[in-house]
Amino acid sequence: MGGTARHDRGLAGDVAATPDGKDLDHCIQCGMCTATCPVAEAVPGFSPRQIVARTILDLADELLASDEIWYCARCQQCVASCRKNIRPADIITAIRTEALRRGNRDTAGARHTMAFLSDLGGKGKLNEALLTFRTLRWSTFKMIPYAMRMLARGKIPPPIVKEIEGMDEVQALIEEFRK
Amino acid sequence: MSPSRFAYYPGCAAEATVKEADRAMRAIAPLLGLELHPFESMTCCGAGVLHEEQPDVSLALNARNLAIAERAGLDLLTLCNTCLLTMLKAQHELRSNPQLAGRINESLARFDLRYEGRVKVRHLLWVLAEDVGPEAIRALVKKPLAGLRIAPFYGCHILRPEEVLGFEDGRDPNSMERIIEALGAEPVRYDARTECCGFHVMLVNAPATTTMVGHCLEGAVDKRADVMVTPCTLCQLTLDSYQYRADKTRTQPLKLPVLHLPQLLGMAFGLDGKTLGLNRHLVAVAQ
Ligand code: SF4
Ligand code: SF4
Repeated sequence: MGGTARHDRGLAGDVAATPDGKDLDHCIQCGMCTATCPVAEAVPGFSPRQIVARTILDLADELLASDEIWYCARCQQCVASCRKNIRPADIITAIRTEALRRGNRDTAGARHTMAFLSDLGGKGKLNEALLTFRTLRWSTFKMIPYAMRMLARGKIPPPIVKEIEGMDEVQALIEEFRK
Repeated sequence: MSPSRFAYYPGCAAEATVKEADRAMRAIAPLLGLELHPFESMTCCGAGVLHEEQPDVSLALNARNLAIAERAGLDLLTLCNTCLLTMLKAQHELRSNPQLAGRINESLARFDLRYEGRVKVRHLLWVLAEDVGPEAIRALVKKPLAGLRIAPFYGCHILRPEEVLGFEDGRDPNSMERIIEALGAEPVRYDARTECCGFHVMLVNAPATTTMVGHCLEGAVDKRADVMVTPCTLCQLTLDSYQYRADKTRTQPLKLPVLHLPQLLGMAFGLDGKTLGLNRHLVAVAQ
């Protein structure tokens, strides 16, 4: 776990070696992905085209520790609009995998993603009640007005999740297939 | 009509935060001739998020869920677009990587399970549009929604990528419109109907989600929609619960109630608001 690049070409090699990132090198930097990305419209500076470029150029340190790789909303607009079938959203997925593998775990996005494996390995289901705190830590207080509104409609999920049947099977599969 | 039987996979949201979607689904199912079989042994699909940290674990757990449905001889029905895409992507990966699929099956064999790829993963919207059909839906209407202008909001993961989903044209879908018409209401045409609600960054980048929610709702309000309806539990959760945040950046509140698809059917079929959980919305639904 953790550490540095496994391939000569650094981050580009690592990403291109995965099923999600295998088409990385075909990108022609046309910018269709960014032009159709709703997060690029909402967040100044966010650009899937640039994330792909920085991956190809192996600007790994800065990119993998950034918050912005976690801002993609997985809407698949870029996948539909990319003329070269790069699947930019999947490239970003591969970058996230690589960020975690190399030990970049201290962003809200990284914590949010890591909560899934720990919940699925615990009860087999997501604990929605705890997800906010695990993602935002002490900034959770910003969500209090939201939580109050949800509470008024009975929409705060129970903090205790019922365990699924066959948890031993799930744990065995996790042990066997985690990398 | 002999009932169609499904492995029922409502998704984590419908089991907790937006329970009303599950309740409405269970209420309309017998009317539509759908028999729902939930499985206590199925895990969360991991929402594509588990895949980011551990792609092979995500694939193995989805293969296990699908194999459970196959063992029961059932196709699977979900209320969540993200569950739909995650499971269809898993099927796609299992097909394209027979070596890994083989290893997963060796492990599943210990639990008396085997994934063969027979199970069809379906969304409620697809079952309504394809199996039940608008005509049968029309025949069930007791309280036609005449005069109501309804904005369909599809949600990303039931439309894109088309290579994985392949149900209808991702840029110009019409299944929701056909159902809205069958219920006696008028579908509202607006650009944002195929856009993104922002659910998957609602914690990590709340301001981005707020902007996206505002944009989608405004598109419908500008075309004088009375209500919005979506097939996805996650879109509903986002568009309803972040609406007050989007309102803060506007002079006029948006005030657009957002319904789950099974709630809208239930209303037209004459079921009462309590059964459908209409009291659980943040933006009040006129009943
Ligand atoms: S749309 Fe495709 S080819 Fe164009 S910049 Fe984006 S990823 Fe590269
Ligand atoms: S999937 Fe991510 S990068 Fe691609 S268009 Fe959507 S938000 Fe932007």
